[in-house]
Amino acid sequence: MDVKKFVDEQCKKIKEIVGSEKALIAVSGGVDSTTCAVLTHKAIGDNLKCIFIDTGFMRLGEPEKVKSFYDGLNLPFKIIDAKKVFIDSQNSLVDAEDKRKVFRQNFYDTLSNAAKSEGCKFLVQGTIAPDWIETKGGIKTQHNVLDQIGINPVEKFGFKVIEPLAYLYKDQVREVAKYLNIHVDVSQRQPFPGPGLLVRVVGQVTQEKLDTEKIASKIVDENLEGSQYFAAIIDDEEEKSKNSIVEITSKFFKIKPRMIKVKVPKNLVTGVKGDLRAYKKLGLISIKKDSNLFLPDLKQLEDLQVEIISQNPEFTRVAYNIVEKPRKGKYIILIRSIMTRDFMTAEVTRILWDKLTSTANKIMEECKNVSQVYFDVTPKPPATIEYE
Amino acid sequence: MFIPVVNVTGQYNHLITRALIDLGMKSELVSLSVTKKNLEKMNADGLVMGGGPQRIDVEKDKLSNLSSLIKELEIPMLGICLTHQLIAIIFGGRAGPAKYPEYGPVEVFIDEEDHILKGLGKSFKAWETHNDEVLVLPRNFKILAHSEKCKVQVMAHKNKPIFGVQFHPEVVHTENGNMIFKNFIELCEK
Repeated sequence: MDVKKFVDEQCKKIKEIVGSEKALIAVSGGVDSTTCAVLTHKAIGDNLKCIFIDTGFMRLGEPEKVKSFYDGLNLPFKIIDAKKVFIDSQNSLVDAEDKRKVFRQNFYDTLSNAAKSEGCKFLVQGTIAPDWIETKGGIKTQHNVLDQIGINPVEKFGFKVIEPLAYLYKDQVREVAKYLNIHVDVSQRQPFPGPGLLVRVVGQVTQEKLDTEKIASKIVDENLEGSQYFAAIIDDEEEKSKNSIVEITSKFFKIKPRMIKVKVPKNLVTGVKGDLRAYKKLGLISIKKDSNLFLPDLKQLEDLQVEIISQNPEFTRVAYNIVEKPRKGKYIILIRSIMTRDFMTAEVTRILWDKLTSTANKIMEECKNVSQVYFDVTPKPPATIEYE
Repeated sequence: MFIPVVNVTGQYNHLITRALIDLGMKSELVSLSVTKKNLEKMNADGLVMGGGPQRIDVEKDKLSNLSSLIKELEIPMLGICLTHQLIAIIFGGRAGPAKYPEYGPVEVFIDEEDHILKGLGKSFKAWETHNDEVLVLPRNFKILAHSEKCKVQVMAHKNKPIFGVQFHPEVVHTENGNMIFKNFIELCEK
């Protein structure tokens, strides 16, 4: 793409739309919103107000990190502490879409108040192509999509929405970021979802579960690699309906069924099959061989995943146990690492087992309420990148 | 050259326009209700049709406008995923639920290169996401590629520039997916 042309055209357009009014942007510290903020600031200067909403679903140290970065950029920047509202309103919710929709409501209520107190008539958003494609297609509700699904932001929240990056994909946004001289720590940063750790705490959110997720998330962040890699947490509560995973696995590896343990958590996870949302089950597989943890080639596990999902339509993901000694505990940690250009499709990163098992062991050491750690072996599709 | 993409509302329809633009074409999404007249006005040199969430056996009425368009048009056409299945039905074949749906990476084997698969070798890794598939090939078509679980991965009309592919050449994970668009563009140039 012609980046210079893109930046010039968008600056001109933003100037025309906003005129001498003020505009608000909610920034997360990620590449999309930061690029959007720098681009818009180039167009309208300090009439752009940047706010960072602390939703409570941030990673450890995140608000401070983002603040120091924005101070360096010399953009007008404010933190709004909305932790209580965001966390309290998730209280009894379990369903992934309910959680996302309540998050979206909180998000725009907070922005609407901020826009009023800052006197802003416009809201600039770093929405990119996969956001509106997935929301419009009913795969999952992204928190930053309104216009495209028929919600009128002027009526509902009192501002007009501008989305300069709406037709770009992540790799193209990174090119724009580079052109705008945004530091490589941000331009190459791995994406972090708008609703943050909310969508990595699968099912019902509690403070204890969220705190455990934060620790696991930090450990994974420091130890692994990929286009995107992170930890998610799920309740260690099994559902007991029948499936053919043990049989398929036994046949696939020529291992006796009694050496194979399959767990299916009660919490469902999000996937996409044939352009349709698939909010379905997750299959967790553990295999012992000669009384040791069996760690086959990742390619084989991916092939096994294909067999399991094509023969069990109620499943959308498969993950594989990577701790030697599981124990009793309230939660299971899932490690996901994928490689992708544009986040529309993704393949599982081929990480060496040593690295994965040592990361898992660190999680087991630091999170005493975790029973087991699994590595997700599902590409996108049929899984999405995030769990909810 | 201008090659519009019919937006059948699948996840990758917009990515098709990106793939064509990256190859130096002009391209944009056009709606499912686009007419032959609209396309002539735009000077379309060819037409690519995306995939979508509609199930081909029970929801093909939602695609009735596109069905008539495919019959009328004389420019080169490429149908992807759902519209590959639609082309099969329009020309007298059958499509419906696949016994083994395919999601993610699948090895595709080439039976005959024709023009559309030139340069792709004997087999390649393609990315798929389909619940339905072509069950019976239409009479005037030939199979150009298959996978272990799906017989008709690529098909071509025997004497018109009309092609269908079940996988998604527009996603970056399909190996050399852009070769298919390059080959299609060459056909549009003729």
